[in-house]
Amino acid sequence: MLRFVAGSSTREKVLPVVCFMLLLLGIVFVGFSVAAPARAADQQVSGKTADEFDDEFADEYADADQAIADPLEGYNRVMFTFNDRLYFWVLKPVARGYGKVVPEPMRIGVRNFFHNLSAPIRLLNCLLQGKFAAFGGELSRFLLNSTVGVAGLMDPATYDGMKSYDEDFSQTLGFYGMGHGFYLVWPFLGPSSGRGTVGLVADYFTEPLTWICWGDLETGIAVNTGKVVNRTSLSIGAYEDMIKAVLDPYVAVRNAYYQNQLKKVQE
Amino acid sequence: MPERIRIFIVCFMVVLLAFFSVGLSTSTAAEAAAKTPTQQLKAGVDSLIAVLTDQSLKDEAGKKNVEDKVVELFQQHFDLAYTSQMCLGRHWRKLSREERNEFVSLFTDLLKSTYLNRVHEYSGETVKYKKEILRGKKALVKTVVISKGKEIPVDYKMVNRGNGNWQVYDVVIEGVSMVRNYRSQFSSILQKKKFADLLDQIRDKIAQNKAVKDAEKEPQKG
Repeated sequence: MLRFVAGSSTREKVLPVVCFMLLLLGIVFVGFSVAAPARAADQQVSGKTADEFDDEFADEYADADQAIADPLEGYNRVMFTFNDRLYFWVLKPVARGYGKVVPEPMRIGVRNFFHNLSAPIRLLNCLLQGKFAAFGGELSRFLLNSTVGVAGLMDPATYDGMKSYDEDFSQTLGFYGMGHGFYLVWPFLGPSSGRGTVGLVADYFTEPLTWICWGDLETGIAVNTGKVVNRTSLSIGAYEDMIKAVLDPYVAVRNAYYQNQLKKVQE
Repeated sequence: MPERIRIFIVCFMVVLLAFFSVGLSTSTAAEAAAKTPTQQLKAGVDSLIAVLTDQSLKDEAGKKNVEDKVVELFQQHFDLAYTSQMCLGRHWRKLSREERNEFVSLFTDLLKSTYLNRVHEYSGETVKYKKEILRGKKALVKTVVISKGKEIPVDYKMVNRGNGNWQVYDVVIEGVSMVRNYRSQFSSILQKKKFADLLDQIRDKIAQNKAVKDAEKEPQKG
C-alpha cells in the first residue's frame, strides 16, 4: 500500500504533475482578470447604508435571485438523482452498519486523521492567495495535530482554539476573479461547477492520499471509500432532514452550493 | 456523500438548534428591553439545552411535553411572518392578507414536520458567541456551534420588534442563508406555477413528512 516509500518510481511521476499545476497556475494568472474580483456584496451587512437597513421593507435579499448558470440542468438532475439513490441504497446502509460496529469517538478520530492528512491542500492554497497568517495557522495546526495529536487522530489544535482554514484550489481561482462557469453535478462527487471541477483535479494532485496510493488503484478506491463511509456515519439523518424541509431538493442543493462557494471565496 | 452535499447536510442539521433555540427565550418583553440581541439569543439557547437535557422529560409523555413547549415558544419568539415575506420577495406584495396568513401557517407547519421530532437527538452541542453587528432595527449575531468535535459557523439575523424584543428571521449556516435557499426554490416554482400550486406543494410535503414519521414509529411499537 505505502508505495511512496518505494521512492524513485513516485518521484518520476511527480514531475508531470508539477508541470500540470504550473499550467493551471498560468491559467489563473493570465487567463483571468486579477483586478476587481466579483464579490457578492449581498452578504456584507456592513456594506448596507443605515437607511436601507432601517427600512423594514427594504429588501435585503433583492439580489437573491442571482444564481449559478445551469445550462446542463437536464443532465445535472439525472446525476443528482443518481447520487441521491446512491446515498439511500448503498452509502447509508453501509455507513449505518459501520457506525454500529465502530464507536463514535473512534470514527471522529478517523475523520480527524484524514482532515489532518489533507493539510497540504489548505497550505498550498493559503500561499497561492497570499494568506500568510492563515498559512501559519494551518501549519501550526498540522504540526501540533501530527505530533501531540497522534498522527492527526486527535485534534488538540481545535481544542486550543486554533481555527482551520478551509482553502482549496477552486477558492484560489475564485479569489483571482474567476467565475463559477456553470453548475455541474458529478456522479459520486456531487455538486460542482466548471471552476470547481478544475479545483477538484488540482486538489486531487495536492492530496497526499493520492500519492500514498499512487499506482495502486484498488487501495486508492478502498481508502477513499472508507473515508467517505466514515464521514457519512457521523451525519446520518441530516440529508434526510434536508430533503424533508425543502420543496425542490435539486434547486435547494444548487443554491446551497452557490451560497457556500461565495462565502468561502469571500473569506 | 460528497463533501459539498455534506456541508449542506450539516447545515440543515444545525437549523434545528438554531430555530428552536431562539423560540425558547422565556424572557418577557420588559426584561428583554435591557438585553442585547446576543444576550437574548444566549438566553434562548441556554433554555433550549436545559429542556433537551432534562432527565425528567425522557419518557414518552415528557417527549410530547418538550415538543409542545418548543413549538409554543418558537411561534412566540421567531418572526416567521417576516421570514416568509423575505422568502417570497416580490411575490409577497401581490398577496392578500388571507393568502399571507395561510402561507405563514403552512410554512410553519412544514418546518415543524421536518425538525420537531429531531429535538430528541440532541447530543451535547454547544454554542460560542463570536460577534454582534447592529444596524438600526436589525442585528447579525455570529456564533459557532460545536458538534461532534466540528465547528460550524451559524449566523442569526434578528429584527427589533419594539422594546428590544429581538426576533430571528434568518439563520445562515456555513454561509448558506435559509431565506435565500427557500427563496431560490419558491421563485423557481413560481416561475412556472401559480401561488395556489405552491401552497399545494407545501401541503403535499407536510403530508409526506407525516407519512414518513408514522412509518418510522410503527416498528418501534411492535
